Amino acid sequence: MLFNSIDFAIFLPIVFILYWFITNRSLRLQNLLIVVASYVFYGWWDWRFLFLILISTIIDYSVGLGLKKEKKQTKRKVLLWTSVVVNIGFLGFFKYYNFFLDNFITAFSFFGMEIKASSLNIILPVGISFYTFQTLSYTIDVYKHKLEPTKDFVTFSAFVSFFPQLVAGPIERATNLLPQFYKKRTFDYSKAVDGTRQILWGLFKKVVIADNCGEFVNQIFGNSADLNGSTLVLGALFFAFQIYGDFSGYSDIAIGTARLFGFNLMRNFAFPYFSRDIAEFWRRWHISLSTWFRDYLYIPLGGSRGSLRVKVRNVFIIFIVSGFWHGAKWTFIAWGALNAIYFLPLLLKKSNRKNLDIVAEERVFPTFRELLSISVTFSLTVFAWIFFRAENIGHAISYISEILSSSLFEMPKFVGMKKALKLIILVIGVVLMEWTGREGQFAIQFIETKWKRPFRHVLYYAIVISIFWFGSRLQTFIYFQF
Amino acid sequence: MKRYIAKLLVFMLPILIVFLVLEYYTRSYNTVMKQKQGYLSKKSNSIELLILGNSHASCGIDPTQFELHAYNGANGLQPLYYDIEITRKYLPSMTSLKYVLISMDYHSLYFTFPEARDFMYSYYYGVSYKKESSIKTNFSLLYFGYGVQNGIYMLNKKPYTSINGWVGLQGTKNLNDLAGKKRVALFDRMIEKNTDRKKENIERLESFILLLKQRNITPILITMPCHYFYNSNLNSEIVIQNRVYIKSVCKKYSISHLDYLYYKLPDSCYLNVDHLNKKGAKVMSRKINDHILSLEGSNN
Repeated sequence: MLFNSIDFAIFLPIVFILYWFITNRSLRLQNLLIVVASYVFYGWWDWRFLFLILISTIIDYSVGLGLKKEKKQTKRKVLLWTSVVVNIGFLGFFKYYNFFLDNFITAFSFFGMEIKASSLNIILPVGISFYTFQTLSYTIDVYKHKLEPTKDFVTFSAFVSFFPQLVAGPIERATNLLPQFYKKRTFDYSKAVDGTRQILWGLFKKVVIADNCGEFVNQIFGNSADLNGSTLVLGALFFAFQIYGDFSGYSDIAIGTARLFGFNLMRNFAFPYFSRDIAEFWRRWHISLSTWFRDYLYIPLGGSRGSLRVKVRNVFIIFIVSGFWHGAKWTFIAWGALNAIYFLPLLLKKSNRKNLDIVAEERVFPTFRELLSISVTFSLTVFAWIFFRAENIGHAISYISEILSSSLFEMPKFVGMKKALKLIILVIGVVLMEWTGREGQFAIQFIETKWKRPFRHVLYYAIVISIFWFGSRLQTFIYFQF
Repeated sequence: MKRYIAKLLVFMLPILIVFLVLEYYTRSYNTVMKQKQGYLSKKSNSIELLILGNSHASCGIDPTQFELHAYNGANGLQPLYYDIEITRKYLPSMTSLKYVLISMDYHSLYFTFPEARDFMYSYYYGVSYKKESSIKTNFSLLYFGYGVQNGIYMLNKKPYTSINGWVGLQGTKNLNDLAGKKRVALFDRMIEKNTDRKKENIERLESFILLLKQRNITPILITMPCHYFYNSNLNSEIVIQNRVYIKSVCKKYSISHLDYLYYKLPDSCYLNVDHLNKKGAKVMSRKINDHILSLEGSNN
């Protein structure tokens, strides 16, 4: 079920009413309702893959209990690895089987050896990368004694399958989300209003910005061989806003929806395009994944401690794995590697934690130096996005080559220029709104306290109307494919 | 919580009202397809000649030029699937039907289902591709059908008026090689994408021909004239393949094919490179009428 679909628009109020009016007297019943609703939400796409979630839930629940009982370290390790192998096994099979097979065949054929193997027609279960990482965080935290395992299967199922963030995150830590299922939730009016506002902003970013940018992105990336450099730059810029609008929009809707049910999910985006260096960008972009990799991969590998070789190795591992997490394509790996190259100088100069504050905090305008840093970081990010969006490495290279040619100085030329111009104005509007609201959790959060009611309502109506205006042609969320 | 729900409802109410008004106007808007469906519902029993196909036939065949009571059921981008399914639906009530003109153009055998228009067939004719659900379109034609932007744009325009299902368009524009190239390129992309549809469409067409023949209705395949700038850009391999197939099907079922693809007409008869205007439609319809009259004569 998509957040921007009528199915969800019907589903959400039904679950909301059942949750607060029918099951509100029993915590267990509320959790059970969340499980049922989440399974309906997921099964709406393809019910067969519910079994994967169920298996994953049963295994991690059992492993959690086993880890509590077991005192011997070797047996505990066996239990942990059982969970890791099963979860990563599912992910590996559904997401990476064909990639590895194809590359093995290519590699062997390079040495003159023919391998006869046919790739499988595997459907990628929606959100598998998200819930796999979420359940793994539980097992690892229980293994590390950071978390008490739950004995309540219903609660654990609700944690694994919680529908607002099941298919595209934020990837929640068991330490944050699981305890919230133990406590009785009470309806908080201001939280619900704030959540609704966040849903509205998320929908706007998805439906108005991302989907419209997506139209031009498809056109420009699909015909890049026939277009000039300046048009390709515009295509890359549109993609930067498409992916941001799409993914941060989804996260906003997820977080806002969870708030309607009395849950606080972790923040996933913190205005990443206002970052002053790449390190800051990665602290602000897809925070739940970056911190997951930091806590469960980077730090166990040694992090930024150790020799230069170890530091370089760890940075490349974490960024390449992060790229590969996005999909079984060399373009994602290249995107990850490129980000590692961006990040490494900052780490080696020990300036990767320089920009921890909010840019131009309590000021309206940034300084020239801040503006320059933001522009450089944004340009580097957009450049990397070309690899992320390209069909293959060759496509990315030819795309970049054309950008670097003299055609960069020609006027952009593609179908729908007038519409694109309107879209650029909209994007600028969103950027200004986000800049104004960058000290909050999401862009329009501040208006509650800083804008008078009539102005607030004008903005809300404008957002709702534009969602209706642009939203009737349904588009899926990019991040579902990951 | 009740306060939250009440405030939300109050906030949404004006939007809902505006939306319902727009939905009402969208449903009331007299689209050409709505007019065509209305005609079929009311007068299907008097139709003697049925014209099917895509925009080549919907623009280029004027039903008022025929001696028989003709009705143009073709629609822009209409694939064979809908030609056939709409006819099947109304066939029991088409008690006077004698001839069916089936448009066979460059791309007809490869034509896929234009998803963007599926909702129209489902809403107006009650015909869905592979019985896909039409619940959403029935729920809101504006939101799930046309889309709010297109719907409001449409509502601002005066609807066309059709005569026996036909809308004659006047004027001539874009008669040049580039326009021809672009148009053919569009169809070539469609053909390339849907090569595997050919078999499906052939089976569908032949079973339709059989059905018509069983009811003593004469199917006639027709290829409408297109301008030199269009024809000169066609992929000759596809044109030959089409001809070979059409020839074989005509032989197999003893039916005729009116092939006017390269028929020469003055530029003033063309709306653009592959469509006839009102004048061209009149000329060609009279020509087709002559052929049908000759068939009538030989049948009598």
